[in-house]
Amino acid sequence: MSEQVAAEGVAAAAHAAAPSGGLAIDPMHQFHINTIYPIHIGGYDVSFTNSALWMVIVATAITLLTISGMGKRSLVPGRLQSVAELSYEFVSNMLRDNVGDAGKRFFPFVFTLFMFVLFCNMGGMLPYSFTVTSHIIVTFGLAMFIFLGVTILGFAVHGLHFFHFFVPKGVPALLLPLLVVIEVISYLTRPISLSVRLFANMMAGHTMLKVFAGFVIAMGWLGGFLPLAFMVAFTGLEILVAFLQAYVFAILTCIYLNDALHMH
Amino acid sequence: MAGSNGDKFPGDPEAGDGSTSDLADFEARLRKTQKAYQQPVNNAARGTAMGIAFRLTTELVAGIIVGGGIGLLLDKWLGTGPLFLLIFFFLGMAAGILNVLKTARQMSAQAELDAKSDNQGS
Repeated sequence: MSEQVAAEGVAAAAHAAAPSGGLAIDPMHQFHINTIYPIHIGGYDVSFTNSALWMVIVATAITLLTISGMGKRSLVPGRLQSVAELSYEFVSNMLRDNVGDAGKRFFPFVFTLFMFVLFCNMGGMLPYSFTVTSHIIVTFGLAMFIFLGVTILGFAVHGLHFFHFFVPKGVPALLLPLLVVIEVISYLTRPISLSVRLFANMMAGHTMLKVFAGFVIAMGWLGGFLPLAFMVAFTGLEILVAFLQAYVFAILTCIYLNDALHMH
Repeated sequence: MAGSNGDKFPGDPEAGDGSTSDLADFEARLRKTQKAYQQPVNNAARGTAMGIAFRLTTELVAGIIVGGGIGLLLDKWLGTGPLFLLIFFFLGMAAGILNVLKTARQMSAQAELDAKSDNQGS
């Protein structure tokens, strides 16, 4: 009896997850990009997709949080105002600790970046949502923007002197050409490691969640409770990872800003 | 303190045999509970061990990817066999290791800073 129910459950879930008719539950289905409103400009496909929809939702949520949170400006903050103030202080402390007073100018940039990544990661934890940061092109776009911006900033502040950033101190002249090349490559890895770290963490975590959710259905009423218990714990870990990766993304941006401004 | 006594007890907390060992046992249990209560906070601030491992691995792999990419592009551009791919693959590996060292140094500096502020705070 219970087996029958379980088998029906598998079939129904498989049907819901993969309309193409595969029997297995497809854990990668959550990452599919679906076009909501097709737009084509000059031969380019710039359609409004579910990814774009979630970016809009995230941006709206952040705007609402900060604007309506700070709307009252009461001396004793309410719940929303507390959240808005806490996130402001969190980012401003991070900037002060890592960049110093010169970093104040970049507060709007780092705050926007941190809140965007954080809300994208956290929004992905909602059922039926889409995780924007689980696509490498999104995180790579963010990382490349940071990388180019920081490099331009470095040249704007220090001029050609910024090239000294790639010359390690106290190295014999014979080894210098080799080490400069290595330093340049090490500098060029920044956007890759920054984007891959965020993307891989989000994608791996969400895939794991879906795979174990598949186990719950496949193992039925009797065996399904074990993966279900694991999933509860893993969801908690995923929320921690979602915060931590946004934090790492923002703090590395601060470190890169510091390198560009002060050149160690 | 009665460290050896405290070590025996967590397995069976009801096996108290005297008032003095009860007190020692209580101390040990209190320490243990305090420690268990404090550790997650520190871990959450510094990142999980998996997070640290992941960070270091991506640094290493990114170096190899970028080095190999530069080598491939140069080969395509200059038409020189696998020469630059080989050279830049190893240079990229070196850059990856350099990145790992830099990240590890920065992590340990951060950990030291956290430990200092923990001591000052409590």
